[in-house]
Amino acid sequence: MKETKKCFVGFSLSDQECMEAYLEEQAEQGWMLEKLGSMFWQFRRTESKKLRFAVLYFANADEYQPQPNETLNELYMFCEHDGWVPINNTGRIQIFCNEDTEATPIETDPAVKVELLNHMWKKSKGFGLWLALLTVLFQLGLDVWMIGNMPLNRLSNPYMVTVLWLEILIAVYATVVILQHAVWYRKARRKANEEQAVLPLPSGDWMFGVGWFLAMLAVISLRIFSVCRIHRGIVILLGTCLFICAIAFFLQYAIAHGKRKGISGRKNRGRSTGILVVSCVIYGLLFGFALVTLGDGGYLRSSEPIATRENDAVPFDIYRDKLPLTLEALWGENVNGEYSYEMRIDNSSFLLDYQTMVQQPCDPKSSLSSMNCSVVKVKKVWMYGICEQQLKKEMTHDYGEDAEEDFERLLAVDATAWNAKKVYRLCHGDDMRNEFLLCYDRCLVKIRFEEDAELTEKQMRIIGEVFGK
Amino acid sequence: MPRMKFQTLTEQMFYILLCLRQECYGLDILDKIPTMTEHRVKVGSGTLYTLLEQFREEGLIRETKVEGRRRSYLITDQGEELLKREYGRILAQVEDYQRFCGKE
Repeated sequence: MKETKKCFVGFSLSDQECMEAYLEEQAEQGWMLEKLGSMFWQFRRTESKKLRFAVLYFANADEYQPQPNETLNELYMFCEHDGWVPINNTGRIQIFCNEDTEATPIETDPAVKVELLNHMWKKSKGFGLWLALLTVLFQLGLDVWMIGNMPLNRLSNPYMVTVLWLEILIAVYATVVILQHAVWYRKARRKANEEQAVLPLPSGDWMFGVGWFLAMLAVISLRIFSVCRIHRGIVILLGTCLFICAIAFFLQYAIAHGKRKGISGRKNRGRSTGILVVSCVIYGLLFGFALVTLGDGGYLRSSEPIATRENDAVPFDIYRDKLPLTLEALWGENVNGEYSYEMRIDNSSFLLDYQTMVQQPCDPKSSLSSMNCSVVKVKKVWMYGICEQQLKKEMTHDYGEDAEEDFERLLAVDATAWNAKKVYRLCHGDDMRNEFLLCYDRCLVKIRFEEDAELTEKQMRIIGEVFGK
Repeated sequence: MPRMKFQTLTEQMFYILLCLRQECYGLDILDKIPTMTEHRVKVGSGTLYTLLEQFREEGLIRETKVEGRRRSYLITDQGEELLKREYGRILAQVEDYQRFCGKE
């Protein structure tokens, strides 16, 4: 027959009544609690007995002090007076049992019990929730600011869009739990004062806690993947998980070692805090180093170069990406091998697709022309105006109210040949540039040619056929 | 701490402070209160421990001696003041009750 067993418990450690009922049921079946975990409890075989259990949240618990200590000894002395025997000591949660099922309960003042529950909640969850909420709100604020400055890059990136949703969910969850507790505390205090009864803490939130933990992990993972390609991002993520596990085990060992050596709770806490700070600094340095060496602008880079050439000791990467529009299609030039065809950005989210492509000569000193093109395919109608404004902003520079006449501006030109709704051309003073903004029904194209010759109607039509469908 | 920092006392808080008008070991309070109240009021060991700690932090009682695990306590002037105020409040309630019920 098994002498010990491990049980998975699906209720929260703040649910006293559930814990007590469960322990009583186990005792009747001949199992006594040996070790308390947050999800798995360990029991040992014992004589089957009808026992009464009490769970006490010990406000003065110090996880860093040697156990048992003076304060705990005094509590045990009081409890033993009424027949309550301590069976488990995990610092903040003390569990007692009593063979006398009619014994005076350990807690008899509802007002005191409510304060203990509140204190326990603040220490175990409250601090973490507030920290998570403030961190996520700060990050959301940064993200919103960056979206305001670079909407096309950010909103077309599926990782970033998912991260935004997750961060909003995390902020909502943290806010709901904090408010839920505040409402409970107010009601519980009133009930304790008026009815001399205790309102139980809202329970069943361990599942949300697991979901919340997974959401945080997903946010960290997606942020890593947003700057690294997936296979390198996985390396960094696994490294992060291993590092965190190693630090958690080491910290636990260090705290237990301090308790065994009998060093004071204050010194033990100081030592553990020091270890944690140093670990965070080391991790930050390693993480930064990994991003610099392994990060290659993951989502920003769609492909690898096929070769690298040295132009006056400056390295130049050559790409052979498939572009929707090439200079050969427009000028009929057959200069294969002397151009680099690079798809710099190719992002797609449920809001928009964003591509940036460059066709440029491998030799910058050559007289060959080059093309720089950004294509935005708008999937939500309300995004169109935002994308158009952003592209216009990228094309022009705002010199302010004191600007001279000679400044960059967009001039509306005939869109017929382009097969577009609207077309704008960039002008610098009286100088018309070969840089255009083409506005189609669901597509916006910003295109620039390093070419002095004016585009012909035939070339405009070709461009319109490529992007206007 | 509940009740706006001891502006009003629960029954258990009241009787603990009452016991400590004489120097007394914490453990003995567990027997004194049921005797004093003819077993009407019982204080749980956990509740007693928590309240002694909090009374001490608020300066309502002070520790007088320690003998091994046993500690004895005594009420302070501040504690006396609070007890007197609570007594006055209870008396006022009794008088209101007698006045109101007397009219019926």
